[in-house]
Amino acid sequence: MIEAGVISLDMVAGAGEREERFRALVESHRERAVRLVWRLLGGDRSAAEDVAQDAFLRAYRGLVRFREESSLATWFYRILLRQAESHRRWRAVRALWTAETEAEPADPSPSLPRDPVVQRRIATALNRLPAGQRQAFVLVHMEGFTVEESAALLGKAAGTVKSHLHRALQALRADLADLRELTGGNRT
Amino acid sequence: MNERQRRDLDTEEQAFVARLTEHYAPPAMTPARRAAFDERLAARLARRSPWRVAVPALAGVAAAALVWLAVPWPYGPTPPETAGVAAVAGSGETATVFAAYDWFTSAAPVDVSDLGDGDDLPDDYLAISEIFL
Repeated sequence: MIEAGVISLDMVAGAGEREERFRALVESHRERAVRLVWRLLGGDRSAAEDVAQDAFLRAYRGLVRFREESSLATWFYRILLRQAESHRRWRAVRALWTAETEAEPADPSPSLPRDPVVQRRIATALNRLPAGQRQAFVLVHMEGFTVEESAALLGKAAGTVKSHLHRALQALRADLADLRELTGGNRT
Repeated sequence: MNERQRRDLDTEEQAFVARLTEHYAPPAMTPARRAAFDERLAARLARRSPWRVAVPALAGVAAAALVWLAVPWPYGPTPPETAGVAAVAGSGETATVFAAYDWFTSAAPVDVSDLGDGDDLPDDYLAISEIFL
């Protein structure tokens, strides 16, 4: 079972109450959901929160139809990934419409401990990857899902996810080779 | 990155992924931000979707229309045969044809009502007379 927070879904599985299960789901996965979408959407905090909220809303409304064929968390993350991808598509269309050439910039928060320029480069490099590779990389390498869990979330075979991971890693290393922050100062 | 996945990468790849993950992360959610998130989510949950109101309303209207159509006349819609007559009588085009026929029969120097069944008429006139006369 996918777990990320203090409350395990097993603790409330017997309660059967929709609100109770939903509250536990939000409590356990709120932060991880926002972070995952933030990484998938190129570092846009408000968009990440909006998408995570949309996914929670959809999950709440669909909870009555949830048939326990997978864990509640797996089901929720499937919804979340779909929402994130749908948001990306919508943003791409909007960018075309408004003649924007680049994705929205990452949070320029001055309190950010990380370098915004590096973040921007990483976001752009991730953005260049095909959707399957980007999702697999973020899920497995950045969010700590196993290959099998990611395969279940993406509806793909584990072998396909492994192949996505390999290609994504090669592409990112090539794209970000000039960043000393990522290569440990070996290259300039 | 989980332990199993880490084993699939060489040392250099592991270091790259670790640095990438460290650099590319949002700031942690503060308690205030978390509370604002929950508050906004609760407000959105409390708000009824417009479709949840519109769909039952439209379904009700459709059901009422079906019931009204199923109920026999005089409570339901006008019977089809009456409706047909009304449509013919009300049709401007047909009324014009009848008026022209009345004018023709009254103004004609011969009694056109005695023209018989039309056996002597050419085919195209016969066809017209079958439609209008």
